[in-house]
Amino acid sequence: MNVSPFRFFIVVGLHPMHNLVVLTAVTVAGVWTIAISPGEIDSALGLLLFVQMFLASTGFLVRARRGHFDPILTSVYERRSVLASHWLASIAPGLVAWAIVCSAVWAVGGGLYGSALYGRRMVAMVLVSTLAWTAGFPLARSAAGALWLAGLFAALLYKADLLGSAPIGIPALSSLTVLRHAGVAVVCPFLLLGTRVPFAPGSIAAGACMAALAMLSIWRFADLFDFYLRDHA
Amino acid sequence: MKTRLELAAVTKAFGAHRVLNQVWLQVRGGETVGLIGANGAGKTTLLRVAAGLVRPDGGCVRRTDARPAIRYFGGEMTLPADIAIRRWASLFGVRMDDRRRIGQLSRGSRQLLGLRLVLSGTDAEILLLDEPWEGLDPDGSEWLTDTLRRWRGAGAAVLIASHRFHDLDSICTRFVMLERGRCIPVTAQDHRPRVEQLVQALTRRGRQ
Repeated sequence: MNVSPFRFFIVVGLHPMHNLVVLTAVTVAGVWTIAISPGEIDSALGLLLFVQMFLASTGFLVRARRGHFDPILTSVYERRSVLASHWLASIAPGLVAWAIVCSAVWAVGGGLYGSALYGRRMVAMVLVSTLAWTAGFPLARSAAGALWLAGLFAALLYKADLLGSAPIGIPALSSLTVLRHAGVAVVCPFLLLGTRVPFAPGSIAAGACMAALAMLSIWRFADLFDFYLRDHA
Repeated sequence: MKTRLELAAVTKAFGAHRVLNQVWLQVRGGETVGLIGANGAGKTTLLRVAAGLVRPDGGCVRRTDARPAIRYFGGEMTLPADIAIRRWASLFGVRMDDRRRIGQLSRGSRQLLGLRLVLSGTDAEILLLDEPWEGLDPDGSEWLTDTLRRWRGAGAAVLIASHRFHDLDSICTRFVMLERGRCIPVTAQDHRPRVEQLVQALTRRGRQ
């Protein structure tokens, strides 16, 4: 097999058609919203984040243990590059949709597209894309998205004060508070959209580092995973 | 021909069940080794360890290069059912115009499709096949045997796990039996046909 791992995963198709249809509908709705009211960028991006939670959670181990990825896992490519390609192919549709919505904001002359491309909104997208893929690695497709959603509901029901305690911007924050707020951003990246919850830059950076570390741990132990067939001895 | 694949004291356990226990096996270029053994003996696990898909708990797997070209086929159930045949074939550089999904094919047709794609070209150094004749009709079996002969002629190291002794006999240069986690060479005892001796070796060991 002489195709690149990225092309392999694009051809194999990591996303079911109905997920892509939902993503297209959400993107069109987002562009429409921005065309009508350019200030509503967070409504459009919030919906995309929600869909990306499920899209990026493509699951690797379950399909690898069915043998679907055998041709690429036995090819000349290293496992790390295979995993990196799987991650990119998993998040690519969501990123394209994000770019389309940002382009719409830019086209209508909204001033917020910069924040959606390299500001805290982009960090929210990176957090969702990274954590949903990492948490979904050993699970079935979309399972991590469903678990995350359940966790969010639980947090909102029982720890509403924790999510509400993020207002920051106070100059001297203790390391513990920064970490706690970073944890809040990781659990609920939706709070990074808009300006109602003013996270300190340190908390946002710490949250991004947490997500990066979670994903790097998969890379670190890539060679230790066993892809035995589920139905075989 | 030099050794292309070597398993040295390979051990693998799933929980308390030790599937492979100090397996030693060498396959040279231009050689076709038949791997036999009872159901659940660990043939699939051994092939996946050799392919680098399963990590051994002990011992090591040596190949000619760090990342040699390996062709491995684990059977039709490893093909993704919801992908169009022509898209899957394009990954192997094979042109097919069939727009049906792989899952719409019969079991035998899926097996033949998987084998045709994995065996397209002869550019790999190591070929690992798990029950390749399973579900094939006589024409398919004949094609497979001819193709494997071509691969062997091209200098590939071929390791095949199968229960189809007659088919194995027509292509393999030697046999090993996997029993209680170890690889035991099966050698000719007398002038009886080799297949008869293979069957006897497998059933006698099973009774013991």
